[in-house]
Amino acid sequence: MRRLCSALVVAGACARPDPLVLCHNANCTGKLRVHRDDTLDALRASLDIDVDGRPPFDGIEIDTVWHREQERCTFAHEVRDKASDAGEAAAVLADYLLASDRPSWNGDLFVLVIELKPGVGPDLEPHDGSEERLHAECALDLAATVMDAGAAAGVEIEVIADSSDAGLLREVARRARWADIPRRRLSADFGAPRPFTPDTPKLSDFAGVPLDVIEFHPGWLTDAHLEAFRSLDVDFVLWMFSATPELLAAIRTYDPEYVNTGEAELMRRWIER
Amino acid sequence: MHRVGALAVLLCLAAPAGADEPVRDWHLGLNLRPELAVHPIRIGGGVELGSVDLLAVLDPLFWTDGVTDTDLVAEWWFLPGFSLLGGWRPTAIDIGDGHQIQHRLLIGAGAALPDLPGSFRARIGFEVAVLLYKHGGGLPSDGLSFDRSAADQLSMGAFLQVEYASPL
Repeated sequence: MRRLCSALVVAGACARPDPLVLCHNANCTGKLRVHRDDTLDALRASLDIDVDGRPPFDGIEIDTVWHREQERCTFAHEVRDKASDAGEAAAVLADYLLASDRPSWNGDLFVLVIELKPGVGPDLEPHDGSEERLHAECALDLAATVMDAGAAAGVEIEVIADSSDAGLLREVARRARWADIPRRRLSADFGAPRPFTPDTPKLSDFAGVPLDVIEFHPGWLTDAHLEAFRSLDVDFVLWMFSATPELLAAIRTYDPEYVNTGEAELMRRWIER
Repeated sequence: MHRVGALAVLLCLAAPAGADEPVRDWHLGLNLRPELAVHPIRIGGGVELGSVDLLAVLDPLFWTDGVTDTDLVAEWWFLPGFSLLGGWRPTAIDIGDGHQIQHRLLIGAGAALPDLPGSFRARIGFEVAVLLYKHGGGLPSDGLSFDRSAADQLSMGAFLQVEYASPL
């Protein structure tokens, strides 16, 4: 689109993108400090951001990790012994929804992205069958807490279950509690290609998973991957660490439904400029 | 990766152009890009003083997305037809009531292509851009990260500059 816009030197020829803005790793205050990702402090600070009296985001991403050794579901980006329980993040979000007059930029919808991380140990050991079930139940517990608060606050909640592990998505999707969520979406998550990111899946891993969304970083995948995604009947989440000109151009190129960013205020103000 | 390969082939095919005598000229042309890092068409020009070329590249397509990239580059032609370059790329991102300014260090290499008819010439180049610092617009200032988020702060690009040149 960006190239097309450049070719069409006609003012107004290209519409502006209008994606929903998501708060990446519950840490979107604009300071890129990944050690704060998926911590209660960063989540609370992110919920306090304000642009023209509104939060700049339309939803929050909460990462969940099943900690094999401690046998608990944590709010974390990777296995971390001192991580908070996932339920604590859900409680913070519930309090926010109940207390806020306008919990999202759009005012009608709050998007809850629950990423289910594939590793259960320090060396990214995969889940076994019982851990998959427990992790899926944890994600649905988290969703239930936030949805109950949304119902009490009169806010519609969209739940996106996101993972690079197809088995975890299958485990979520087969549960009755998932089917009971009125507004639910399944998302396949792609990072950098192997060997740079060892747990990045193949698209074929998701065969049979009724995907609604694919989340990817546009700078890290081949054109063939991106064209394959475009051939599917799915929406895109475009994720990033830093909002660089490449990423802003990719938003115009791929016209994603969602942008998942650590710089929510910059993204919102660029979209609304 | 295929873009890097294509560039390597072009570098191998590049021939020295006008490298036998000291050059002092001014030049102006189009700086063309295949990737998303900057707009695909920008205007570049400068002065060549012997083996050193001082260049500025301006961005006329800021109106398409509110992003303006400007390059200030010094290029050293260390061998006939081949150069090393370094520079600074300030980027301004329009956020409504202000701009975020991002500063990048540029390092790279270039090669002259065979001479074009008349006073026109072409060169190609490859560059690495490193985001060092960003500030402005009332947003938090931030510098180069040394964790996984640094992946977005390093980018690579290739360019073709087609330009008119005239002696000073």
